Amino acid sequence: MTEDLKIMLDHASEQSPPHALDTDTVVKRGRNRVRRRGLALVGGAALSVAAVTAVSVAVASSLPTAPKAEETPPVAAAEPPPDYTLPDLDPDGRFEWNSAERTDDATGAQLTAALTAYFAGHHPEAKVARWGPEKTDVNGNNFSYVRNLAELTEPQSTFQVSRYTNQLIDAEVELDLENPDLESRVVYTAPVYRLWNGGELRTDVDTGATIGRATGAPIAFDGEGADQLDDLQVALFPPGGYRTGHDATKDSIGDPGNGHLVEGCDDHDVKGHHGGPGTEVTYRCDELAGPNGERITTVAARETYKQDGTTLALNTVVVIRTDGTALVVTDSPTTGMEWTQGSGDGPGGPALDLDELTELALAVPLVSF
Amino acid sequence: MRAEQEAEFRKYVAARVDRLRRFGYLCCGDWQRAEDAVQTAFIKLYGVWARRSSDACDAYVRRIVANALIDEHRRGWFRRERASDRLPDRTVPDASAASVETLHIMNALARLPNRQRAVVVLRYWEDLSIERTAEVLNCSIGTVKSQGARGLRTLRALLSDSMPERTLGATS
Repeated sequence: MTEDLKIMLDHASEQSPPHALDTDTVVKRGRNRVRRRGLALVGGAALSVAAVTAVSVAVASSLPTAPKAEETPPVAAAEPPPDYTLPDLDPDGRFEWNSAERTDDATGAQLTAALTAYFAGHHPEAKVARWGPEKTDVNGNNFSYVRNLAELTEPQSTFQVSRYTNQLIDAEVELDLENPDLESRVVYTAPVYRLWNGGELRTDVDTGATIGRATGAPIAFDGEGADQLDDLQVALFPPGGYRTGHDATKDSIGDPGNGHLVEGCDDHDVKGHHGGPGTEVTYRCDELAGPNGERITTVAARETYKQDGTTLALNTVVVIRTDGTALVVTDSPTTGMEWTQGSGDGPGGPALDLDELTELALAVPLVSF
Repeated sequence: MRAEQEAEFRKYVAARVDRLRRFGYLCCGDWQRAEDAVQTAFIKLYGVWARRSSDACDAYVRRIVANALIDEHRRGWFRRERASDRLPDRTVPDASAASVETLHIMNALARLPNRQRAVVVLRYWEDLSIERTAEVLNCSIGTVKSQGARGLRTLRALLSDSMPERTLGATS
């Protein structure tokens, strides 16, 4: 198929009309652009200097005078817990989550131990997989099974929970690809614990800047030889570091934004390009109370391509816990597996149903950030 | 920019323009928009040419072209499709000259969501690795894998319907 496809794409793009792209025009506009950018930088620098000077004067005049010798210095108060509350977000804006720096710590190890203990008891046959050269699936993607999940007793590179720097990015801020300043788009930063499968750090090809890191792990719940891998994601958000409810953005499933942890629950159609039939997105949402007063939201999301009825299924459970943290677990059949025609609930759907995802989420202990 | 650098830049543009236009066309199905995106990419490339890394230029311009077209799909359909009294002043390929196969494949590509389409073109026409494709599209490796798999599956289904002789016996 892929060789045929390459040949067809080659033929399709061979019959190009003569182009009007003129190198002189490109050079001229390139020079103008460089000149404009130079002027903007000079102007910006001058403004910055003026602003810094003004702020310095204002701060200096507001500084308290040194205490008199006989005054008792205030007793140092206990350090308050960090505040991870999200800022107010522009309701018309578009904000996306991004996982940046990753580190390992004792809390991550504690969470890893809880997950592996759960799998040892509930899915002893499950294996964690890792993309690699050993096997090729039906679509040409390489992967290899690594080891039984149940055997994992301590953090290691193929199945563990890590502490990430979680960012909320303002997606409306145009990124200058010549000088990508990724930090300028960050409107919020807080820690988050996420499942990690050893994915490499992704860097910008031009600047070397970090642009995120892979999360989650591909799991063969039916063990070696299984005809399906599931993408399991586990994320623990700090108190205040998320918005409750669901993201109302009418978009594809699996990518909640604007500070939310789950998309849905409003069914909608996503318009197809060029008059194509597009996709139909449906949700089945439910809310229930956990055994210790947790607030649990379950969402079964299905995205169906109207053209051929193929369906992508994604199960999500969000647990708002008694300490204010939020645990999110999602499961979806991942790449390379044959898609299920129809509802996505049969073979080819998520291996873990909503009840089992809820059970898994409730098995994760409370930890401190 | 020094004269010799500008000469190198001109050579680079001349050498890459056709391939990049084809890449843009496969991503959007419109030669004019593809050309606009390629021109924008070259203009931006000019600004960084003096401090470029030689092996990063292709990825850089591909990324600008792909993102420009994806972004246009995502945000600007109303700008592109607004009704007008005036006929568009642009070059349109002669449909009669296009083979049936070309029409089928371009119709099938047009059915893919924009990012899936870009992944398919980068992976299976440009022969980029999964990692390089992720870099060009500024997305995760997992996204490239899943979008590529979905795109292939949809294309396979569409082409099996329209060109059974071409794809029924094909393997993955």
